Amino acid sequence: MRNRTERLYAVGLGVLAVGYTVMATSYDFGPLSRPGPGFLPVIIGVGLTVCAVVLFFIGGRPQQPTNPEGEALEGPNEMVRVTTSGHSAGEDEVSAAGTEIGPGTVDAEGTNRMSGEPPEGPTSLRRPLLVLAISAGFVVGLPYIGFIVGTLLMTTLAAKVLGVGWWRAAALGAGMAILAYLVFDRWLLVPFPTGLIPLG
Amino acid sequence: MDSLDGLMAGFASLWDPSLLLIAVVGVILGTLVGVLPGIGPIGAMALLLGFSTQLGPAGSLILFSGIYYGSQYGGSTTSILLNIPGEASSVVTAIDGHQMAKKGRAGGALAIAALSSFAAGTLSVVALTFFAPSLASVAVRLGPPEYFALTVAGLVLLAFLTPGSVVKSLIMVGLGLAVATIGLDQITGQIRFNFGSTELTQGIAFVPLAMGVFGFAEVIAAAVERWRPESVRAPKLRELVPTRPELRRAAWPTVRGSGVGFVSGLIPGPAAIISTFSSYMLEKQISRRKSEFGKGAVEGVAGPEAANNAAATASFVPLMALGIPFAPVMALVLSALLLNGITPGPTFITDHPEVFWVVIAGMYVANAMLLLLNLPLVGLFTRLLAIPPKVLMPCVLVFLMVGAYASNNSSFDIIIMLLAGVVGFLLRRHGFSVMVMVLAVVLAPTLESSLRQSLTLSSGDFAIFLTRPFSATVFGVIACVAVVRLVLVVRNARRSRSVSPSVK
Repeated sequence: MRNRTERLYAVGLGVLAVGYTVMATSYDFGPLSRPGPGFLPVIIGVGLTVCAVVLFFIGGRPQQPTNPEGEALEGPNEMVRVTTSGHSAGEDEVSAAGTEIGPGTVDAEGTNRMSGEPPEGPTSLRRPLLVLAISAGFVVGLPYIGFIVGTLLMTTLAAKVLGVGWWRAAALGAGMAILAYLVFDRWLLVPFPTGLIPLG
Repeated sequence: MDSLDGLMAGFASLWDPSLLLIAVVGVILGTLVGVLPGIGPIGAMALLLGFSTQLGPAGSLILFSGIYYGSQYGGSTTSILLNIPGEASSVVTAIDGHQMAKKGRAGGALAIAALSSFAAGTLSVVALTFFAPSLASVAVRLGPPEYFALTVAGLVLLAFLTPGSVVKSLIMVGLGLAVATIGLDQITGQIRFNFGSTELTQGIAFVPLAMGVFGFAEVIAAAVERWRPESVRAPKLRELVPTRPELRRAAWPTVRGSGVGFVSGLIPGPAAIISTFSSYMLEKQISRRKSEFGKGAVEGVAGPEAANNAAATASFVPLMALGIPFAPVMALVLSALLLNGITPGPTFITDHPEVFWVVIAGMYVANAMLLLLNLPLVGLFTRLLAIPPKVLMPCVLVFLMVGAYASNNSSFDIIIMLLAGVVGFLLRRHGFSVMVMVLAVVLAPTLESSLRQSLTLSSGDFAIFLTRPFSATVFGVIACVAVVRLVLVVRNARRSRSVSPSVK
């Protein structure tokens, strides 16, 4: 399962890398003594292609994170799970002692608190797609409905999609619209399309 | 200018209500993003990057360093109270910090973390004050081959030492470099990879890209995940007073942690991880109470907490003295400077002393503010954990839209932001580190120009990188790390195949 997605990624990256390399060869590579604009892109393209091939055949196996001396790090004493899936660690997960840092749970310098597995059920794709659609709608609608109304609608709908009730979502939307108007339009003077409400 | 005079001048110009306000906002915001799920320090900086021209160079840097320091405090708070390391830098703190909390010493652990962070932060700003200018005066003599070696080191060491798959990290380096080649070639003016679009001739702007992969990707992630509120009992003020033995045990680990952290912040690689793990291992090695580690050893909190703060400060040094960011966070700081028309390099400190010294002064003040603000407010910050992402993320979405639009006043940048967010989300979900990619995007221009200039200097002879002592040393180190890591990868793969064939 994991292997299949990884191979899918490898194929996608490979296609991208080959396309990039082909385009890169259309720019002047130049002699080595005076490398042209195509020089580095060709190197990058070839490198990416090689990496994609390696990913396809060998795979990017999740390794034990290593400590600086290079030993696999297995928590100083006992093994424990630190889940970084949102803040959804259950009592059972928090109660043990020690640490197992799962691959990909926290990025280097990490902002990452995404969970490894998506929640089950048919809703797992619906909500992110709706959020994306709302965001795209904001961009498309911006010149027509303007920044204030756009913010109101986007915040309300996004909150609703994420599970906030209608009334509270609308209140949040109104609050953000007012805040955004005061901070960005009045204070920081960002020249937004005004649209329906010619404020600012 | 003499360092002390400069510093005094810096404090004098910091005595400006708007800059002090920015510092306060920075440390509070940093603590918030450290505590709250989802957006981390890089995400917060990316959100604010769109406004960095309004804030000015000094204002942006003070804000960003405040966020960076604050997020480390916030991250250790959740590590200790909940065993959830919000940031990579506080993963190690969770080990002994949470054990202390379970023994009823949550307050002590929080206080030790705060005190050792403050001590290390201050010690390393002192080191930075005197070290950065002298390093810069040496760095003026570095030529293109040295710069090429340093940028390669920045990327390769980060890719090889970041936990996870090496191949995937290298792919992200390549992807970042490829993204950066879109647009005008800086040497010949040739337009590359614009697919006939006029918007792309300027290249993909960094602000919407960073906002997408660190901000919008989190919004999407929040829509995918389920969330359960955490109930945490915040320690009372009275409990925040560390006991005398705790303080005594924390003192030396703090000093050692500061040293370890400062050094690992100076060199390329994932400093937050390396500094905290090294400090922990060091303390455990030399401790007379080895058996206490993992069960609530004070040293295991003080050392790593000191180390991550020292590393955070030290990571400003390569940026300010060489103009090269080694850490992804510094990539955002660099772009804030670039947006303000300042290109940091060896001459940054002498060319812009007013910016440099006020930022340093801001770092001293930010450290002190964090100590004064965060311990009393720890109750408030833990209560914020009850804010669900379903409320937070729509607000973040507004900031993302506005920020992406404001950076260039164009809807095109919002589209870039959304696309970057979707791609970033998909990549991260499958173990590709977008941090590595973002650093590659930022380092790419230096990498390309220094490579091409070096080859021109040597009339096409690659030996130039190995005949000059400095770049030869750097490449030697890169080669060693790469070989060691690859050997380990192969060994681990063999071992996991023979022991348990079903590594998920």
